[in-house]
Amino acid sequence: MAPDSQPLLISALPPTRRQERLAFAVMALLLLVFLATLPFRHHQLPRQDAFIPVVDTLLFIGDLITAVLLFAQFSILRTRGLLVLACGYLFASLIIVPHLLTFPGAFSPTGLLGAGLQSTVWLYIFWHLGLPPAAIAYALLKGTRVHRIDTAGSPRAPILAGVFGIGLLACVLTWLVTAGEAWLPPIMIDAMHASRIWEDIAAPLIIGMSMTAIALIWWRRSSVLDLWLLVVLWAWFIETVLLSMTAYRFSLVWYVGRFFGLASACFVLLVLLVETTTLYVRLALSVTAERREREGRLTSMDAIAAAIEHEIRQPLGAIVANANAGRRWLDRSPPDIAEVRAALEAIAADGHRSSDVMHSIREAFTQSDQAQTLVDANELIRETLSLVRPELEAAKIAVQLELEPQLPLVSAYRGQLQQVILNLVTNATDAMRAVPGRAAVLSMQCRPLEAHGVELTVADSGPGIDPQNLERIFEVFFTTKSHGMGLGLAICRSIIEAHGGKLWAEPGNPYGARFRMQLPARA
Amino acid sequence: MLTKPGMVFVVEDDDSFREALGRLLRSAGLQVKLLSSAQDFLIQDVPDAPCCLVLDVKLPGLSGLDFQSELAEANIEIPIIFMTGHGTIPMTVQAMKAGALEFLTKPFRDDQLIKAIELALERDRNRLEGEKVVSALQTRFDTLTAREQEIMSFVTAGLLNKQIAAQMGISEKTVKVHRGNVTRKMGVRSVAELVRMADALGIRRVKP
Repeated sequence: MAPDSQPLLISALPPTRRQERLAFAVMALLLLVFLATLPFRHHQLPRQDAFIPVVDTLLFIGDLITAVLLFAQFSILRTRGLLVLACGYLFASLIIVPHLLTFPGAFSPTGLLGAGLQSTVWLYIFWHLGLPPAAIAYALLKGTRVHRIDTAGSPRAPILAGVFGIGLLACVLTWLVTAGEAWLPPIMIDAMHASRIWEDIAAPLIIGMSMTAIALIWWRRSSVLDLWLLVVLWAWFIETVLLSMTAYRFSLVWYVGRFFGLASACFVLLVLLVETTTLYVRLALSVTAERREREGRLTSMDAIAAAIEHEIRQPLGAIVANANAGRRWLDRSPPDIAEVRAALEAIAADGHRSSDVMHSIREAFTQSDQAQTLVDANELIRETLSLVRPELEAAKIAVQLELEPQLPLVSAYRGQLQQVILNLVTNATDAMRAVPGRAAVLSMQCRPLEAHGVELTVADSGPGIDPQNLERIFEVFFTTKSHGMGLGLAICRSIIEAHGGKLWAEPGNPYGARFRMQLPARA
Repeated sequence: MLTKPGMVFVVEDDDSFREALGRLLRSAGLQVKLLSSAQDFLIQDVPDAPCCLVLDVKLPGLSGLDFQSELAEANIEIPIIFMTGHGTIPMTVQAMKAGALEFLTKPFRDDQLIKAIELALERDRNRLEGEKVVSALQTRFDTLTAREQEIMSFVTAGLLNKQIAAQMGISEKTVKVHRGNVTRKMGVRSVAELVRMADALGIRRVKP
């Protein structure tokens, strides 16, 4: 997978400032709640047997979905870090099941699965010792190419191995804490309160692991996922700190601690889902836009192909007709040499004409592979006019220029734009030839648009365009000219629209025709 | 074969193609009039000779197809051969349905065009001759008195003298005299011939 196609995923996308601020605000809020709880840490609350089943169920589902999302990210990015992290979440969610079942008072007074006094607390310790090492491994493995699993293979095998291994581990641990309870150091003195082992050994171990993970993730964080993982570990850390301060189940800090775990897991899951759906929506939109653009391009390619066909068939038809005529004049007795010569000359002229058509098409489209450049419309107009100066002078056409200075630059394929202007100027010149009596004036204007763009106007003093034809002249086969040359207005419009602009015609004032072209300025 | 030389009107907006067609058709011994728009054709004097129109489908102003229906509305009967640089099937169907003789896509073979033109001129000549016969008949018919014209329409409807007399409220003898005049003035020898003339003139009555 190419590196530049990765950052669409939250596990690779760097966080924005806003996301970072939100995450840190959440962490600060958690800290505040923690500090607010401290004065009441010895406060004992009534025992609620329904509390653990509800919290555990929510945590189970939340962690499971998070694990699935992470496996999905892994199947695309194939980094070992993601696989380890996903396994960590899967372990956290699976180990909740026996924890819930063995918790005294949840389903039976002493817990199911033949649980003893120590079973559920050991499961709690395993549970909380699961995710921090996974996060540490994730932080250590992430990013480096060396640790990437071969992307050519299917992601199914490592995922299945991970799921199977974690499932097995959860089963073994469950068996250990139930059937092998006697071999484990006792932590709980009775169903309500714990011995010093919890406060002195287990809790500090979890806290130490969490702190290491937090430090590593903080140090190496680079993606949106890292950011929220940090929040999870922070909540995890606070939960353990809170719980380490009490030896009693169902104390205030105990309740708040469990609540911490729940809130953070749900919150992170929500963030993951929101991020994923946002990315999905963006992806869907961009696919739609891309499809639309491709269709638009096809339509204009159609128009261009048809216009080229039309422009080429005309001289081609004339060449064939002239060749046949020449042959027939030769076959006569006596042959009419003058007619044959005229036919041959016409053939040569039509050959040149088709070559000119090809040339102007080439001029307009060979540059489309190259990058767009920033174009100063005024400069382009002056340059284009200098190209046609001899013809304008020969036709005794006066040029009136109104170019406003300080125009915004237009991002465009310069050659294409020049062909369009050239085409409009040539049309205007031809139109004015049709009205011999009037003074021939070609006026060109260029002015900035309020909506950040440039408007270019080409007006002539010719016969004008029949109002009912103002739109039809942009159709592929429509012509009001007696000799087709250049690109044709259909292609001109395709080019301008491909630049995000507009091209249309309107009656001149007081007579003649006016073509207006609007182009958006560089973004 | 042609009593008078035919005239081919070429309406094509592309200068060089129009000139090429002119050169080609003249080489085939045809009389050609080159025009650049449909409007130019309308202000032409169409000679009293077989004519045909070679028309480009896309024309400035009025398109070839629009022009075809305009001619039909104005009752101007002239065979039309269409040319196009880019023929679509619906376009061809529309033109042929409206009575076009041929639809050629550029570039086309010269004999294709010339053959189509000869066919068109032939058809137009037949139409002109038919028109001439009818107009001669009409001249003869106009020499009949009103009563004789009425009797001719009854006779050609197959009525007997006695029935005609009863219908018109005159004697059978008078009918016979008028009938003799009709036969003489129209220059016919049989009732069958008279019936054909009445058909051509469009005056034959249906038997009441």
